[in-house]
Amino acid sequence: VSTAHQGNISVPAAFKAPRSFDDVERSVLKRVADALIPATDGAVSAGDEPGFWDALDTALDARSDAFDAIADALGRLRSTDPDDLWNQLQAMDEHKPGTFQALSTVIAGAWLLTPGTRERIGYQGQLSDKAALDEAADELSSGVLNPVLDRAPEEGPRWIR
Amino acid sequence: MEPSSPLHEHAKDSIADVLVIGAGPSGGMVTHVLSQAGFDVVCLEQGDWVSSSDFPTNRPEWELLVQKQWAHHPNERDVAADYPTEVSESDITPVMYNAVGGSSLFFGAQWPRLLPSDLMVRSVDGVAADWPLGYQELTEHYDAADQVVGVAGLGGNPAYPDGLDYPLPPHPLGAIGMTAARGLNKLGWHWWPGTVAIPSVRFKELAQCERWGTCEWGCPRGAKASADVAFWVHNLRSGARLVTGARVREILVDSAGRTRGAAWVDRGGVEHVQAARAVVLCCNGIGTARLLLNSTSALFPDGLANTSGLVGKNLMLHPNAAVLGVYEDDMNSHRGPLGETLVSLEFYETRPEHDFVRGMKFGAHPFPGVLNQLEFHRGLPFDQVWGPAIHGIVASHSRSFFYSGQIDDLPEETNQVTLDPQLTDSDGIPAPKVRYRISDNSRRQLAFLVERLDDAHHAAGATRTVRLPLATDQPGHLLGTARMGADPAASVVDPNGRAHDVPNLYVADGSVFVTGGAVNPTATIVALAHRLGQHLVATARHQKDIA
Repeated sequence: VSTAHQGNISVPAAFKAPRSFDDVERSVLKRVADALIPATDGAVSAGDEPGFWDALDTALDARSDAFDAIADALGRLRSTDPDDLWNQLQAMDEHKPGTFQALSTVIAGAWLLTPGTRERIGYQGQLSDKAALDEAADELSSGVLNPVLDRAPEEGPRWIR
Repeated sequence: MEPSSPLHEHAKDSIADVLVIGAGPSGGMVTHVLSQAGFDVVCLEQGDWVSSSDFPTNRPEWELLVQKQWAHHPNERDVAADYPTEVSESDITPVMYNAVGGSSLFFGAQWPRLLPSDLMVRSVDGVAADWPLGYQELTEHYDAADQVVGVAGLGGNPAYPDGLDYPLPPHPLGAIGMTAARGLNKLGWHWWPGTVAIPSVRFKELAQCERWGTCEWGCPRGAKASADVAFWVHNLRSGARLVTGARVREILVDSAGRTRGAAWVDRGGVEHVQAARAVVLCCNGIGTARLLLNSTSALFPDGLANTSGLVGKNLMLHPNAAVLGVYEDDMNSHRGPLGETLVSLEFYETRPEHDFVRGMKFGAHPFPGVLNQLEFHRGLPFDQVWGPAIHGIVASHSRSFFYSGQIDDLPEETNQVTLDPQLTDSDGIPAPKVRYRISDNSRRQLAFLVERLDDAHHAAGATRTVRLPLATDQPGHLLGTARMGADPAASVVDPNGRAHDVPNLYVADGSVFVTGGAVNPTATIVALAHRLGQHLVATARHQKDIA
């Protein structure tokens, strides 16, 4: 049963989507993306967001475990009446939550990677941002802890048994 | 470490003073104490080193990577060091990481201590069982562990006995903590700045926290006291021998019923025996039970150290719930550390007005990653998440934070780890089956907790809240399956962690917990490991053999 393991056995191998989506799949995915993340004041829909399709490739690699399920779902949605797409997606969420989670998280994840979306919502990713040494001291010296300390003599016996 | 390295050859051929199995926090601390005292320690770790540059949190798409490739639950990952866990009868999927550093690679580094009542639940509340030791017996070991690890916090928490302090200053409360604090003050509830094993200033090998925020998926800045950097870099300098890619098949015993070491399989599938004068198990509440149950012999047909029949039983997992709150002001929610900015113990103890015994701890946390925040909304109706609604959700990211809490789930023998009759790991070693059902008492605790978290948000000014009544993939607190006690019929190990049935076999991980309390357990696990290490050093001075 034993299998010889190469490389670092505690680090997952880098995933890669097995292939790119073809034109038909991409057109269905655009309709789905635009339904889930439509245009709004100041923002185009997800499928029209600059950088979305490059980000989608990154997202599909990251969730390549779900590639087949997503491709399958796109195939089933291919002939869906545009007016019924929303209902079909809602039904997928209800009856095939794993598939819908993968499809929607890849779309939303790609959209959230685009520079324009990040700029609009004010999120630049996780950042290095060390605290100044006096930051905690300044907060605590504001007296914010006083109510807790004031109640301690009375409530201490309830807190410590 | 590659199989052909000199270290590997040396390790397999020599008799160690002490064999430690598992290189997580407990194995790290036991080895620290023993190697500093001059003992020859060999540690077998089934995983590898993971460097901070390996973590997915270095990459923009990290939130997608942690859904599957780097998931908390080993069954979701495709990582060779992991073993499968059968969880079809479990309400919570127990999570862990198998590597040097163990699950602390993915822990939030919250570092609270148990409270005095946690150690005497039977005496104060008439349920479960008392520990065979008290709070005062643990304090010196908590203090020593804090000094080794580098814990940041504010001393003087009035919910603890006098004298509690930490070596490093606390992290700032930030906008989240200050907002949460004002709300809790309005409610008249206890709170205190959070305590974390994340350095607020540079400490030993650890960088000062850069507030990257992704603590539970690996710190890419080398600023979290996971056991690899908190212990193992120092342990190797002290002469400890760490063998990676070493999966232990069974603990071996001699005809007198003493352990003589362990049989293990290297990453190439080659079998080895590591001989030792004493063995310390540090494999977590699932791995240790699995290994003991897999170690059968004529003397121990039901598994090693299992005369009581309690190996694997009384599993506790600390069920979690969470509530997200959205505010009008900016909370800088991307900013770490993820471990709680503040903690409340207001509802920690049993109260006559509650419909449950024991209680809960909760704290306020930032929300690193907008996709994570969006995923938190999945329980809402479809059109409240997708379509036009999604713009409002993502726009509120920086104005939100979440409260999460965990409950004191009491031990029950029916919640247990057994061996699955079919499932094995890649070396053919039987895999664990975990059966964990949330009790009625726990369900009442969780329901109460969610209501209070909602109250806390609204008192702090939240304009909207979203509830997660049970986090099924949290928190990786694996406790109770080789409980400690003075009575060999009612416990697996004695108050020092020594197996009642096997005089030179010890357990030093969360398995030995008698009850779990409601605080994050790593500080206690490491304190107990420190205590056990000191016990081994002391007893070895007076005896021919360790134990």
